[in-house]
Amino acid sequence: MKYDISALMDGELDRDAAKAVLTILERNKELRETWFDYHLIGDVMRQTSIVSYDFGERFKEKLDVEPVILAPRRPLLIKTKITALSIAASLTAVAMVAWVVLQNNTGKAKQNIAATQQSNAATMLANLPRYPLNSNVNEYLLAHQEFSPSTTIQGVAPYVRTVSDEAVEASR
Amino acid sequence: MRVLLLGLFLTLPATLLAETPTAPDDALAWLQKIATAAHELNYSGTFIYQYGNHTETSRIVHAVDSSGEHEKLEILDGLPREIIRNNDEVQCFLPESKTVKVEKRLQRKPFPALLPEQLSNLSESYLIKLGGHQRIAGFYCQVLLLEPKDDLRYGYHLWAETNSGLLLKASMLDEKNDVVEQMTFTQLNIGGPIDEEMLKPKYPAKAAGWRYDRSGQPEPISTETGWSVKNPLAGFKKIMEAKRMVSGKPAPISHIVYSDGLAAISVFVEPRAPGVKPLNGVSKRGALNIYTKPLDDYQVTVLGEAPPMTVMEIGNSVYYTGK
Repeated sequence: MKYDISALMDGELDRDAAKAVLTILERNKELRETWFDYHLIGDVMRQTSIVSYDFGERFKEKLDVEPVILAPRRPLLIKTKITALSIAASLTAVAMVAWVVLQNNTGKAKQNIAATQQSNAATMLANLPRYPLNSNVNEYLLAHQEFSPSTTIQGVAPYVRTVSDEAVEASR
Repeated sequence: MRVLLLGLFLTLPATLLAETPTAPDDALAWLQKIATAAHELNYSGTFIYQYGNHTETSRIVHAVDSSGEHEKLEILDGLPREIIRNNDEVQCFLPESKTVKVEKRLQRKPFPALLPEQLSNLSESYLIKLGGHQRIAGFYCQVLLLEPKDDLRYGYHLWAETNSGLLLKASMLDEKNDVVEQMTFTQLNIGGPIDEEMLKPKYPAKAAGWRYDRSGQPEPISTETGWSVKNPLAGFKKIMEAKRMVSGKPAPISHIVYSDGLAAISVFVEPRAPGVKPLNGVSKRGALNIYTKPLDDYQVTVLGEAPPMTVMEIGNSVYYTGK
């Protein structure tokens, strides 16, 4: 299991495997601590500035007041491991923020992270699977259109964005 | 020579002359006029909806009588589809699957206008200018340009019929000024009586085999959904929040709408039924972008007429407030 955690940190797991490990992590406090330890070790090895063992506690306090920032651990990972990361991102935001907080000591690092985040978002978008639209989306579209100012200025015309059964037909 | 120059000047197309900066008040008044015209006039016509290399022709009929507003939109190309609105009820007819989806909205004003706060919101996010005059479907139109102040939203070019204010053409443009979506009337009648038959669905109501989905409920279960967006994007303000039954969905859906006065983005959060696969991906249709992602035991879907990055950023910022 510990090997799996390490592999997850390095972005070496595929989507399903990463998900499985994250599910276990979610349930197992001991393994979660291992996860934090590994990050701590990694930070020390990368000679990141001072890290203390009550970091977890202080971090929790900080987390309450700070927005969660999703950022890649290493730029290298962005392209190749994006799938694993995107699943990992929501559940492991905690660890990611830990990393960001540690890296965030200088203003320059902050700027870099902002830039990385932007390009990361674009990369994330480019890597997301594209679903063909089908008529199932109509419920949401109808609900949305009711409140959109486009209906105010164009009447029923923007409902042209609803979807016929065509897409469903085509995918059969 | 001077006479010749003057002659040239007079024969220049109006569009080349008119793009002078105008007080935004004029432009805002035009927007208000457009909104009023769309809901107070009788009109019928044909328009083309274009995005990418896709073109779709539709017929539209709009009538106002003592009982309120009645509209019909009929998609003429490809598989048929009809949308019929009677005041606050919208029905979507899908003949291939013999389904009618019904969506009813609560407390909708008979003639919604753009509210003053909406207009001030607009000038915060767009540079609004009057353009020149152009002819669309045989009518002279005033051109309105809405340039976005950032790349969180699309730009708009609007063509409003000079006398009535009815919107005859609308283009949405991306940050490269490429058209992402366009609706243009090719034929139009403004005013005059509308034959009631033109507003009826082509498909017999209550016909054998048709399924009416009336599971949607306009009354919200709650106006606090327990969901929010951590980092609201510049200019986008929350205009609606409700948890209610939406047609076709088994459980109550949380629905929050953010708008910059012109573009709207809806956030839907629905509990994921056991055994249902979490989805994470994007879809696109013209200016409409959709982003869906799992969040714990929920499925979050964000959609709106805004750039894909904007829709995704809002989606990634959705969180449970725990209330």
